[in-house]
Amino acid sequence: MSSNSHDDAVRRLSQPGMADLLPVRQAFLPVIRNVGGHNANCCGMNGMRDEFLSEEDLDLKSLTDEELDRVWMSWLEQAQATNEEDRREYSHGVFLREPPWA
Amino acid sequence: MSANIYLELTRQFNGGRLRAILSGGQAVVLHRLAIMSKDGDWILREDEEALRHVVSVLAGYGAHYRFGAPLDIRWLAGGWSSHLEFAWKGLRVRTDFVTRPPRLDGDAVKRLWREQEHREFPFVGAKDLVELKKTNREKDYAVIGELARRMSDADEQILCSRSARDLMELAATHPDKIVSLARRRPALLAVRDGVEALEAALDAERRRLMHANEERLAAYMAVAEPWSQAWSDVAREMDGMAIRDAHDAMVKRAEGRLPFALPGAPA
Repeated sequence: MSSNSHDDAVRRLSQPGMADLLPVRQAFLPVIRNVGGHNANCCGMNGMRDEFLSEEDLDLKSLTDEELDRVWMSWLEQAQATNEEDRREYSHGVFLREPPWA
Repeated sequence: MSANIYLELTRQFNGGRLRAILSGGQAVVLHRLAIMSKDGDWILREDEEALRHVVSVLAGYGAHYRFGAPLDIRWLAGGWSSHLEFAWKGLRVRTDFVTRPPRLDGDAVKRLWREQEHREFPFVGAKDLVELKKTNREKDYAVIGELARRMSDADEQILCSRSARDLMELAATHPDKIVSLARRRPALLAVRDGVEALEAALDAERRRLMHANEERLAAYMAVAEPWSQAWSDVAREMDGMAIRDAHDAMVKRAEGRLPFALPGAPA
């Protein structure tokens, strides 16, 4: 969705009278109801799923608390290898890096 | 007792009362999603006892301040962040603190504190963590994507999902919700145009969120410029001091150089 069409969409939904979304709903429903059956790109048709994190990452669920502790500590220990590289960086908060900033 | 330093710090921060909720990447671990951060991030109670207690705990670890705001209610209430660091068993341990987490309003923060009371290891729940992860970093959106999949409430999934495919499935099951929630998340309107259009809308949405966070950080860093220029002297003055003395010195030096809040911020 381009920035202009996004802005148009927001303006459309924000206008008085849009509290009743019937016209928009009517426009959507025929498309939405047909999605699963006719849209070849929809998930379920080709079995593909968007991947965000790896299976190894998500496998933390299967660990006991003690196993998680061990894996966590081990990861933290290995991550020390980048301390010099990221010594000036911030991962949280309102700063990006230590001064000087110039 | 867990061997993990971030859980141990959380336990100590919360000795006697709830003062600190684990956030950021270590909360992602407690959601059993991924281990991807080596720093600790906490949301602190905005009261002087809580801040004094946290400084006291960190004193036990020989922590020192990194550049940032002092752990002082006047700055934290203005949305600033405080950052300290120490060495522990071969690890560089960084502890980052806010009392006003970004993108969570006052009611959300009050609810967060209510929900975490009496938990052994309080950590930010999925819905709030999604908001906190809307940063300027690409990798945080992958975390949002997986957090959304863990949500049981359809509204929350629709509002948080980063997957066009997941959203198309949700649209097939809950078409009315897509329409009504599009008011809060305009990218959902692209559902009507199919997966590729929705993917483009989600990409554009992610870019807007990243830029918004960049602008937020830029505003704070611009206001912190005089403080950043004084920092090397301040750090030299604090070098070797116990954290409580360093804290007092830092507060004195920050007054007048680091505004308590951004210009124009509501009181």
